[in-house]
Amino acid sequence: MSKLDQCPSSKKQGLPVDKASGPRERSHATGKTYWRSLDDLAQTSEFKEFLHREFPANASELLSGSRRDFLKIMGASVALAGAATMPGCRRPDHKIIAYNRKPEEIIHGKPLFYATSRRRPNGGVDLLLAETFEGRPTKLEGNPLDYASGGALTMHAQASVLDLYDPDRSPDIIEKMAESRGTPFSVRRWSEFTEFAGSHFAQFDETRGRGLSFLVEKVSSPSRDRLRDAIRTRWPEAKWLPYSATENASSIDGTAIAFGAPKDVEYDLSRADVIVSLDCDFLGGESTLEGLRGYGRNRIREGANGREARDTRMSRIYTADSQMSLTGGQSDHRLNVHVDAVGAVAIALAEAVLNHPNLRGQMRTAGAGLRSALEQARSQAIDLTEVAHAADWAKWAADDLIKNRGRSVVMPGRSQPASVHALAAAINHLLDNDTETVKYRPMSRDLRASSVDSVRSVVEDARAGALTTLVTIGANPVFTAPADLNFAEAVAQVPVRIHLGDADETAEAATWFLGRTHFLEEWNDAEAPNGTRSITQPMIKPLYDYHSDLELLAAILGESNPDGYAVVRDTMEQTLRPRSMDNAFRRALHDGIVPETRETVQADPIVSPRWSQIASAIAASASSFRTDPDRIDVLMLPDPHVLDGQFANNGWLQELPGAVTKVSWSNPAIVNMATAKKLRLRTGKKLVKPQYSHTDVMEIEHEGRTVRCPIWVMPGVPDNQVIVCFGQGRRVAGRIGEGTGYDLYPIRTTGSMSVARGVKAGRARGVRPELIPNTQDHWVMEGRDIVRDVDLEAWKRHGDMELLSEKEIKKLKKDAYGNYREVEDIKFANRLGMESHTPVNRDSYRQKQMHSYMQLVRDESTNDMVPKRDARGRIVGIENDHGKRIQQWGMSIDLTSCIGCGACTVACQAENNIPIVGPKEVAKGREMQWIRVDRYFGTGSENPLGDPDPQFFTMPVPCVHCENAPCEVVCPVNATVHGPEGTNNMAYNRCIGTRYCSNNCPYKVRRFNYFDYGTKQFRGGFGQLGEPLEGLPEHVPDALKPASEHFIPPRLREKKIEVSTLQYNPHVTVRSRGLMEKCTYCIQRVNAARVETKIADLEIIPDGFFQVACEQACPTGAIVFGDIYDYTDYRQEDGTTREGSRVSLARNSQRSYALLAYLNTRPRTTYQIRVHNPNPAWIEELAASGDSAATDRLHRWEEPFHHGEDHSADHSDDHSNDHGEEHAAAKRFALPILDANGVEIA
Amino acid sequence: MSTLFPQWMNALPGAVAVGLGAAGVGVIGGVWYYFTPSYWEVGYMPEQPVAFSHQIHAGQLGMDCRYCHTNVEDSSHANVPDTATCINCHAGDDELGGYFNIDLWEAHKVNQNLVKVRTAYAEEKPIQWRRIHKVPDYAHFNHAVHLNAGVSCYSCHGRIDQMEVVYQKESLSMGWCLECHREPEKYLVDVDGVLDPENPVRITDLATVEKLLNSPDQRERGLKLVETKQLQPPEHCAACHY
Repeated sequence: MSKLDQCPSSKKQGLPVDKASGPRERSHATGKTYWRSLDDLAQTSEFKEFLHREFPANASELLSGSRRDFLKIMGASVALAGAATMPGCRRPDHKIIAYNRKPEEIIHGKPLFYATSRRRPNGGVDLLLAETFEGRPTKLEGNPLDYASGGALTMHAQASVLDLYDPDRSPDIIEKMAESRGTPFSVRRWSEFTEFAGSHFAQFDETRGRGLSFLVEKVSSPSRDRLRDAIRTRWPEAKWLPYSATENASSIDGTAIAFGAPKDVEYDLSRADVIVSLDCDFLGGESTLEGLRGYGRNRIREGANGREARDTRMSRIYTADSQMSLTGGQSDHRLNVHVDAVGAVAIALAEAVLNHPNLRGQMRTAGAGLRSALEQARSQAIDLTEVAHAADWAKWAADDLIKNRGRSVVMPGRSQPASVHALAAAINHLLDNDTETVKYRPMSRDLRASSVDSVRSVVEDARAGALTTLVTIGANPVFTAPADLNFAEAVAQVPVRIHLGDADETAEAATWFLGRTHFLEEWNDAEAPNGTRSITQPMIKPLYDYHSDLELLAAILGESNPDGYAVVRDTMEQTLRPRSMDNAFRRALHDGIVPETRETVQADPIVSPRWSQIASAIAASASSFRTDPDRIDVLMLPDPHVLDGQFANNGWLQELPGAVTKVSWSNPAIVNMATAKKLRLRTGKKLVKPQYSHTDVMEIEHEGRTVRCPIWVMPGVPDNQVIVCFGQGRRVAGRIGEGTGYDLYPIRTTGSMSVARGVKAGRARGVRPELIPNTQDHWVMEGRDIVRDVDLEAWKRHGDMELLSEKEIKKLKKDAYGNYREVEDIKFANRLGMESHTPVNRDSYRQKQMHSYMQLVRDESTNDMVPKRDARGRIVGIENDHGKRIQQWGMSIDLTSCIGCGACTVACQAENNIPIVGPKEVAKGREMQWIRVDRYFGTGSENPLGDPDPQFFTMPVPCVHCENAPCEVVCPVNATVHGPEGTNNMAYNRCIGTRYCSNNCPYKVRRFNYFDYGTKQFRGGFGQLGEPLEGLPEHVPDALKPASEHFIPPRLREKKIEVSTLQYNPHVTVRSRGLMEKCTYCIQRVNAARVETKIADLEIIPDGFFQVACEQACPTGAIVFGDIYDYTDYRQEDGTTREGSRVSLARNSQRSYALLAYLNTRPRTTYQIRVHNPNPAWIEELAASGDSAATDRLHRWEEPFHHGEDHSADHSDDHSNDHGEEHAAAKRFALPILDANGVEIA
Repeated sequence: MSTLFPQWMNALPGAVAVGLGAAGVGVIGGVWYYFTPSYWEVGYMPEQPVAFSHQIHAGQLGMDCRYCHTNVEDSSHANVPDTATCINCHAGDDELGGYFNIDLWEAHKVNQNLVKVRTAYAEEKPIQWRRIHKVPDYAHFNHAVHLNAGVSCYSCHGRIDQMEVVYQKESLSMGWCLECHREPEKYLVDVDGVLDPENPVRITDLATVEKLLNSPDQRERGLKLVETKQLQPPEHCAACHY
């Protein structure tokens, strides 16, 4: 670090590698080392550049070229500036366009909230609360009346509001003409279509519908079902074919094997104490929002009244993981296993359960037939001794399942075949889980249909010439259908192809393209598997001549002027027959839930699964549970962000870094280091000079089709396995989706829908390595103990302050110099880090800072100024001139329940008008998201790279709002300053863009607008050197056109298309180029709440009166926000009383710590340490068998704390004299030890 | 040999120096005075599409501001009324029926302004008013909280009830905002009767408010209000800028 070039405009391509960096430091609580990426482990120069500079090299260079060029450009820009400023002398004429007739409820300047809903792909419903301003929806939140979601929302539902204002939505209805007609297509009106439909579909009355097929997306909507039935009645031979590229076919087939009919499976994770996942990434998308909510409730439950640690209860997760999934990262026991070997693990697990002595006798007899089948299957499947730890994993997971019978759950993943799903159903029955945590419900007809059969039927009919009219609704089969069916080629032979949906690949292939309304523009309804029904009401009139699927179906049935409202209302009236339709309908619209439908579909009565069918299914598939080291297998999953491709044109989701990979704007194939080496694929900066990560492009050949995509090396992925996500690489999508990522559908065939075995893979010839925009090393912080974690056992034994004697507390409070620290500084979490060991900070500046936010009194005994406390020892905040307490805002993030999903990032983006910047800018570290989710790996072994099974930590980092903020002192224009409520504020109008503040921010949370990201139209990227500029006025001569956007005056820059500005929140300033910005703690919401409470004459803003966007969106409730000194008694939902705001309790928890606290920044955002819950019995057995890591772990349960300076401490030492050692250490530094009065202690 | 320069030229350097100095002072003074919102903004009086007279409606007829600006106590915006509000009185579609006197009816038939309003209403084309009072996008002003604290319309908009054509009375600059935030007692009236429960001040009664604010005991009264209502106007950036 010695010769660092601090100049931000330096052109150096890298920084000298720090030769002095020693071995990585290990955590003393868990013995782990933490690292962000392989680059971090290797300490590459690229990583160091991200570490040492807030923005990496070339992030700030403006020009290259000669002085002549410079003068030319300057001249041009002066000329342009002159042209631009002339009209600027006049006062702009602002118009106020008042309503003609104002709708009654609208109050200008105040948002209006409506309950509505969104049909989830593959069934189910998102209950929503839409925020609208003067009739334009700007943000979606969860419906707080819905207990199961608690007002939270997934990233997809949140981001879907952006699709409404997508400038690439095609505004017209288009009819493609036959080639003989001369014109290729013509623009039509809806009335013309209904006229056409009326006559066209009437001809099917004769043939009873023969030759007519409907290929529709899989959703559950009672109204659509009703129209479907009407179609079936009128045309009995017409085919109704539900289709989804992302359906969980194995679950449908697996439950069919186990119960005779497909079942919807609901896992109640809020009551599951042991969760066993068989390659099921339930935290990363395979569960529902309700599932995540339940998981969050039960992951950690702390005790009360000073016994929070001792009485803590946690769920325990066992995962057999083939993907390095979010679930695997959160697991307490993760097994790194090839996707094909998971089946063998499942067999072992089932056998262990069946043979367990504590299994209920009745179950033992019931499962007898299965037992013999499993024994046979085991011999065919891979021998588990070949998979490290697998046998032990199965044994202990089974043991724990049995111990928690009825309160556990086994979850099979979508990558697994139907037989594993059936087996999991059997295990859940053996364990009586179907009485508590697993619920089966009948699956609706549309949802259980096989999508492969649906498209196959279309293709076969089309080939045979038996299909004359194909109606596709919502789905995009031309892009997503299995490749071997050649769907596009087949349907080209269908004479009439009507497509209602986005302007996508299927629209291109259609003869009639009808734009489809967004769910915020239409009347519709939806139903959850548990019967909860909701009505989708429009927030805004369709922006274009668009219509909903209900209106299309009604038009097909012959209605000349179909009306979605009437359809939805009729459905409700006919199916529910409410006593007063008007009241019920109004209630349904108001609440967002149709009255008396909440959870009306009961779970199926408990039945014994069909043992013999399960046994034969397992026996039949056991031979596929084998891996082969000479074979490369490809696991195919839907892209976690764009799903099957439907969100490809959504900039928020494209730019959101992958939760696990941290790659944005791309979908590289994920392999581990060994496989990459084996396939001779390379990664790294050296591949393409000068900078940013490039990787080799891999070519995968499967069944004669070839795809190419670059690779991404991830630890924790099994050998000989490639993981790809399909859905990206859209050909017809819009300016964001087109050309983003790689189309991997060509290797997805009917025979290999989730795993393609034995592919030919290798480095693609003739292509250069490609850029992978990723954020894994961006905003990397330098410091110790950033992520803190501990095992549950250690937390229970040491977590409570009450467990410490007076003497021990006294000892902890006193530092090596005899100064006393506050009780807040010796919390359990602080003792894990270094705060309780560094000397007390006694400078006058700190006192001044403390004085600003808490009252100080003089301590008689030490003559120190200490914070004033109330009778219960809690710190009291400051008061204003009238003796009224000034509220102090703070946030607490629980790393135990955070799953890293990214919902907070999207929520923040929607709330705060945060722009997207595009892949090139992301690669340069210029992404603008205010709350980032850092990912760390944690490895226990000496050789982190060799660890096949790294643990995984996710840490959301917004601006932490330091009370003693380093950014504020360096701002030359006071643009970032503190408010009296403890927030660190940005005054955009003062900012001149020096970027000193971000240079000085140890948390690297400040974002800089290098270009007009917020106001300029996104065209795949922003103005770069040497790239042609678009959008200049025509009168600017070519010679004068500047080479960089920086030289175009703002007035002349290309503006955003108007429709895409409609999403903006009017209460947040849209930032322009050259401004620094960062998390504001949603100050617009704070201020709005303050005005409300002032007008209502409330003393303070009560806890929970408002929520900040990230807190509101978090599905697991990991983020809480509020007043940190609010000790009011609050009544809770369950009737108990909470003594203070949630954030004050969280901050006072022994698990709470501040990031980089030893810098004395005094952050307002604090974290609660991650707690793991490994099976103690397993660890003890391992230790008894001589496993050194387990022995080490057991030892750390006894003594989890920091050990002074000796990081590689020998743990057989007696630790009682740790603090004595520190005194000795202090002496070695030869500083005098002073007492409180400044007298040296001898 | 005659002198190259006449004698009087000796005074030239001095005169130039004094002249430049004066010019400098002039420039600085000019910028100081003219380049300010109070010069540029105050008095902005654009012509409106409909020559609506506040003087007649709020002054002569004594209509309350809140009859049209309905949400001013609830929302950050003081909304401009919809055309339907005008039509409440100026419908003019049926015969004499709705009107109390013949003059008003006659006026409706000839008054071009009313014709415009009625046409706009009938054609459902909103009237495009020209905005007079505007703070920048990065400054967030909230009407509701000011009114509820007891700041009258008068303090920012002046005697609207005397304006035939509305113009900007105050500069709306940040310094001007802070004047009040630092000394709120100068501008507060007893809007909810905390001092005199019998006689709360009607905040839209601009004449009374003007009299009160200019009376010698305003400061005393204001301080009492500040104390009772526990007012402490914020002076930090994020109160308005976010």
